[in-house]
Amino acid sequence: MVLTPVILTRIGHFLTVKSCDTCAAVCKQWRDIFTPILWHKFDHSTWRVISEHAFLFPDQFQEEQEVMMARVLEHKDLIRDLTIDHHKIMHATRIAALTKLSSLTLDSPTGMSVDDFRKGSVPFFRQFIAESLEAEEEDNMFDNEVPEDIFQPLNDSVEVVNLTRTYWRLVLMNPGLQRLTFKIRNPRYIWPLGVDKPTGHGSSNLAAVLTSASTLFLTNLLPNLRCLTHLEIGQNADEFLFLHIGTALPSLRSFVHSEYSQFDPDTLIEHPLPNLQNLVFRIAVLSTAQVRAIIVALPGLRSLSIPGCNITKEEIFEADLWEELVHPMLTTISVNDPSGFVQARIKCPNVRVINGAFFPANYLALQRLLKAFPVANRLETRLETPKLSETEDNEEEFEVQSEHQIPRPCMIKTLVAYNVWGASNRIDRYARFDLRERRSRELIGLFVGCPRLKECRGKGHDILADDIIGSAEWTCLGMKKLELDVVGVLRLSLGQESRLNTWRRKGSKALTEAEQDAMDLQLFSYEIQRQVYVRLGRLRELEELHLGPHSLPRTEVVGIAIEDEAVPGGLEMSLASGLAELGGIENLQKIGFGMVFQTPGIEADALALLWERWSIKQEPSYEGYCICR
Amino acid sequence: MTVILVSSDNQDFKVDKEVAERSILIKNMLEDVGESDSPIPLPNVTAAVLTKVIEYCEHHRNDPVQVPEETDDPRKRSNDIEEWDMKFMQVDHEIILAANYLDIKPLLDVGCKTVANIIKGKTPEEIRKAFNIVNDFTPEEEAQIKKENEWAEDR
Repeated sequence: MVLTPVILTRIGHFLTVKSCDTCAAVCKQWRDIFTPILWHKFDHSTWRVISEHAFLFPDQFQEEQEVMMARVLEHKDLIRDLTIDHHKIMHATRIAALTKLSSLTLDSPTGMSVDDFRKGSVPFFRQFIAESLEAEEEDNMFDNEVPEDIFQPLNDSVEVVNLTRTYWRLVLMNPGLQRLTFKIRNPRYIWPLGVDKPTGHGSSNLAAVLTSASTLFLTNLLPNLRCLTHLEIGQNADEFLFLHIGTALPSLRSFVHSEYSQFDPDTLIEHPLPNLQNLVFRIAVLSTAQVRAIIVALPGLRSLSIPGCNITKEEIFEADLWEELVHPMLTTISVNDPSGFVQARIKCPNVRVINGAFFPANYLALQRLLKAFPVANRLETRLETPKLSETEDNEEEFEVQSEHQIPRPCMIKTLVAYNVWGASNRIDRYARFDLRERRSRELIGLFVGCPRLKECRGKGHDILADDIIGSAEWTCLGMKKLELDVVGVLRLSLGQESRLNTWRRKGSKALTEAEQDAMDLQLFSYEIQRQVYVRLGRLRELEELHLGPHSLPRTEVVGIAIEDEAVPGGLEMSLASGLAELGGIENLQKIGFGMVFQTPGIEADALALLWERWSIKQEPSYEGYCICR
Repeated sequence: MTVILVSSDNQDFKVDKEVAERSILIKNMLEDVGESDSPIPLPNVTAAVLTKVIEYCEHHRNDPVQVPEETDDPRKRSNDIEEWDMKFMQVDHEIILAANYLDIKPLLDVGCKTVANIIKGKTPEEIRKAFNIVNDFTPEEEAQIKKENEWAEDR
């Protein structure tokens, strides 16, 4: 196989460190090609001789460590991307004197404590420590940048001070640095920016305390990082950083924050960051006002990741006054529950992928999701599940990853109401409707927008008669099974009904005012109901139709109230109310009505129609309202 | 709209423009010549290889155009090859060379990942055998390499 150097280089990018190391041992040409790739990224944890492995058996590996050290020094000018823990910082800074880094990551320490480090128990460092302590007194050139007074004399040991200074020395030695990452939160031995201190005893929440010394330190430091495009940090100086990204770090495109956050939304809006494209808050749950500020102040944002976006009690009252904010640049959102964006009145018309540990459990959640993210088509969920293991010592967690296509409502074929919160993670063909949320119009929106809808089953599909009449044409013309609770139809009260019946029995007697009112109301009510039946009658494919009401109190069903006032209720089953409008349905098998006083609320003429048209006759049903063929 | 591609051994291939434009080289050529029926010669690609490349482009014609991810980690995963692609790549390295020449990044990546997987777990000697390479290190150099090798983790 003859592969050109260009292709071999490309292959090298897909190799593990070990394979790359092996390839460099194949022949001279391959050595020249693979050596720069091998050393481009140096991660302390990938070399066993200087990682935990070696710390467990220090003396055993003395020779190998010397070989390794010689290798590092030989290739140090090839290293661009360095991942290191604080134990080896001094080595990288003083002996290897790395100056061509474009990326620096401070990793969790492996294996040994600072005490081990100080005692020089690891041979790799023995000689070096002796040297660096000698050098300590000579070079104070960076002490101005990392001044004494950002440390706390009581808490911060000499090691902390030294390591922090050494770290920033390494940073400042590398003016081409583009990425700076602190993987660890609250590092014990290095203060990444030396600014946050616990506010009280035992409080895990740190306040954004910037002393004047810390502020000065940051102000002096940031202009040295002008090439930085990516900064990942766990500090509570975020408000300060937010303010200074725009001016001090003009190249910064990506900012990852791994601490709690308390920034003031108004301050952010006053200091917009038009260049930032990627923003991540690892643990801070933001308020809707903070997220709105981000949307306003970071117009260039492509990707936003936050654990959550919660509306506060105070904000609920303000939220109605908020204008809708549109962010056209955002394409990727990572958030556990994206519904906060809806509450924040944020619309992201170009977000296609949503990452999160969330799935729209019901139709409404889906509908709202699509309101904020109208073109979202993929939801990538990551749910952390503890590993099932019989031994206690393995507490490792792994992530279950899955991808879902976000269904558009027009794809939904079946709609099911349910009573309990159930986490369904598949709604590609059916949607669930949460009974606790009765949203007549949103439900009708589905009839209008889902031409494939065949079934709408379950109790709790409450729909206001007025909404049916006022809706756009329904497209779900292939509907076969439909369960609805038509509510809100103005019906006569029991008192009005009996008065009208009495009048009808007596014949010619003139109407009293109350009787006239009842008569007018009845005509009005019948007209409304007739129009509802017209709409339902257009669903020519219907085989089963249930017209509830299942869940309304009985007083609302047909107007049991005694007062002479109209009451909202369900449909009346009679020819007068327009049942004949269903006549165009070809193959009706079953029709159900609400139960009134233990008898189906259906008139004799309606029963006759059902028998003549569809051979449907009345049958008792445990649900109390069923009439079948 | 179709375009005609001519392989190095002078065979004509009629291909949908959309399919042919998976190759950035051809896409740029078409843009340069504008509306034209003249065949496009590909002197570096044989008919056998071109057939396979066109098969790949047909299979992936509807894939979204790859947006280069903003990452400066040059080390990438090689274990995410699609099943179809995996079967497809069980041919030979000429496809990789053609993908490089025709500038079809996704095909080139699949090819490179396949080779990376072949290399994985092999010793230098096994690699030399697989790729027909002569060891040109001196015995001293080789001893030194052996001493240094060994220490990288496999990730």
